Amino acid sequence: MAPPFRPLLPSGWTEHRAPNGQFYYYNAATGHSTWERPATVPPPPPLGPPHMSGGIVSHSFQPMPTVIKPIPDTKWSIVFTTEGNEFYYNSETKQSVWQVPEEIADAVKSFKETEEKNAQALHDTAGVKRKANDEEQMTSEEVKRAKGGLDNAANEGTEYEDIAFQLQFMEEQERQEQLSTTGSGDSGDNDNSAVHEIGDKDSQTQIKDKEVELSSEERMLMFKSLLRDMDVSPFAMWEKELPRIIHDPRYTLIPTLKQRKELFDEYCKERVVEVRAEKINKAKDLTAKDEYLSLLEEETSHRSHWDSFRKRFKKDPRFKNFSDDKERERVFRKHIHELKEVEAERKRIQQKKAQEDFMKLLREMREIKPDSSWRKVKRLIDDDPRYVAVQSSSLREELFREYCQKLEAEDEEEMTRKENERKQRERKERYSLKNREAQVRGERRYQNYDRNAAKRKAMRVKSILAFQTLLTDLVRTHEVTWDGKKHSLEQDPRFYGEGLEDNDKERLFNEHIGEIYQKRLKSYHQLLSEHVKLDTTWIEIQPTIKEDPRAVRLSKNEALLEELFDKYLAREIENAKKEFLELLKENQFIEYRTRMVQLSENGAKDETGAEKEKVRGLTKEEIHDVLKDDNRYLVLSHMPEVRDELITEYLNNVEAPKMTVHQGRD
Amino acid sequence: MPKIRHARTKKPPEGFEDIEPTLLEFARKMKDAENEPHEGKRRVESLWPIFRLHHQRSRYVYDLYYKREAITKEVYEYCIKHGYADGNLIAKWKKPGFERLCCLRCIQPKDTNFGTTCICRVPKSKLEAGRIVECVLCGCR
Repeated sequence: MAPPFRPLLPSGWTEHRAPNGQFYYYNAATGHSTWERPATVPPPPPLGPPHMSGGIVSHSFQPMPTVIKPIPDTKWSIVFTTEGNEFYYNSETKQSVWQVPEEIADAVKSFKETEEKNAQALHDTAGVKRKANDEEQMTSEEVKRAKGGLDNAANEGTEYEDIAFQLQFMEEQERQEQLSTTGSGDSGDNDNSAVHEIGDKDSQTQIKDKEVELSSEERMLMFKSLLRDMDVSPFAMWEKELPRIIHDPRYTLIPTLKQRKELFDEYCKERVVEVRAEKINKAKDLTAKDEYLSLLEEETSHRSHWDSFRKRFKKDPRFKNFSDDKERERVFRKHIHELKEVEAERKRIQQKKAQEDFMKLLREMREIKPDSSWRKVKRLIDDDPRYVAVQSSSLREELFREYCQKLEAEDEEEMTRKENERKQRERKERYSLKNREAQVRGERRYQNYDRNAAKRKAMRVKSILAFQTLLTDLVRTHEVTWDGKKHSLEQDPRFYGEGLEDNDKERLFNEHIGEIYQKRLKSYHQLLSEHVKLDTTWIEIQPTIKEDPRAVRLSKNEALLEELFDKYLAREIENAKKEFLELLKENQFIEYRTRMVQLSENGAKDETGAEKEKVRGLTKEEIHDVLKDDNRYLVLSHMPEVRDELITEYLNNVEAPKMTVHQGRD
Repeated sequence: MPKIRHARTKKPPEGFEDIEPTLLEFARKMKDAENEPHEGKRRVESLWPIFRLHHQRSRYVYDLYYKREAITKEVYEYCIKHGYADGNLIAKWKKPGFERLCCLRCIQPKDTNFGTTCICRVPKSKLEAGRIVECVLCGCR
């Protein structure tokens, strides 16, 4: 046999040890794993039946390719393996077969002959190793031959060696085939003896592509390794894990689902034990560490040293049980470091507290002034524990100085604060006072204004009254003017009444004059009405009224009086006319008659003329007769023509037909 | 249905935490199955997923204890007591001939018209070929 072929692992492959101690190789990239060490040149992938597909798996003694020789004039190469087998590889279709393909059978034959000759030549010259191999193979072949089943082989092989090779290979193939058929069966138990029994069956009749097979035990191991690789939890459900492992080629090694399930259970059983052991180990390690730490906690302080610690506790089980010396020291140092840090922190806090206490003490001493001297103060407080707590005397003094400075600053601050407060208060007072004053002033002004207004009003009324009495006293005639009278009025103190303007005075004066004039005119009219009739003339009346005081008082001017008389007369005549017309209106007799006349005139077409005559009877004389007793008629007796005219006008106006609805219908 | 655990209930035994995720997953699935709408289903059909999950969960605990020996007796008993597994069903599985029993209803003769067990209990070899067999009780076939 050839020596084990051990090249370096190609990239991507890793070596693992299976539970049975055997090495196997796993390619993480492709997910393949194999018992056999993968070579840099990939081994020929014989194409097996579909249910075995994808498995580049073979057991550890599977042959490796040693020599690849192309067969001339074909695409095929002959490949020799470490086992001494040979197979044919088609470089174009990437197909490999154990049997000689028919298409190249002749070519192979001739090629083999030439090869043999070459090999023979090599044998003769230097092929020592080769020879040894050959001999070894020969002996093994002889053993096989002893088992029988060599009868047909003689026809095939041209050379003795070749036959031997072929036979050996065939036998192996046979066995594997047998194994696979039993493996795919239900039971799954592979009885090797049974295989050997059928082993010497005639193999030449079976022409079939076949791959190298594994024993069932190995398959099981592979399957379990698959589960292990996938890190399947022993507590997982089979159904749940199935999709994860189903794509792995190792999965198909076990033919039936039932077997797989069984294997899974078995794997879980083993795995659980392992997991438990691991857990216990870990816990043990942990407890050892805990104990060691507790020992450190109890026995060390921040001042401890490793050497002395080790010397003291060398025999202590808590010390002994934990790891090795290096680890122990590391943990020890770490622990001490932590302790030291804690200690430093504690010290710092203590110091700070002492300082604070000392400051408090100083504050409590009321007699300390900003300018106190340290020597005197020291004597006062040096028996206090807080004084002692601050250990450094210089620090104490420093703190004292600091305190003094602080006091000083505080004093100053207090002063300024007080000053500020005072100022602020004053400002506030001033401000509020000012405000109040303004308010009071405003109110007072308002009240004054009110009072003055009322006063002014009263004064005005009073002075108007005074002025009016002045006017009644001094002005007795209407024939004076303001400018003419003003001077004499000014003599009187009442003229200067308070709250009276000049135009006010003038207005009052004119009103007064007007009143007097109206009064006199009225009395003049009365005088006239006593004496005057409508036909009276100025000449007639003049002498009668000439001496009358009512006329004299109105005016001494005759022309003015005449004018007034004319005006009066004209107005009287107008009045008389109006009254006369009213009289006519009042007198319905006239209206009635006039209507009758008009109606009869309208209806004259079919009535008698006598009737017409009768209606027309109302004349001016009749009207005059009717009206003659009335005073309003008599007044106008001095101008009958005017009266007649008025009557005619009236009659004409009445003549407009005044027909009611009934009259119209009749 | 598993009992509800709260502060005052007894703590589960050690090792329970290993199988808890799977049991929770089962509980979730069971909840989903319970809440699944029954519209469009036959009357018998609505209970099938419940039976199936019940069987699976019991089987899981059974396997863990008897087959894989992955859990301790305490954990196993805790699971039985708290309803994670059906003790009665498991008791049947331990008997010969009932190793793969689907549910307890299927071996209850009183449930059937003929006073026999469910059709799913009949071995395949004894059934007529080509006949469609359906277990109405738990839908196992």
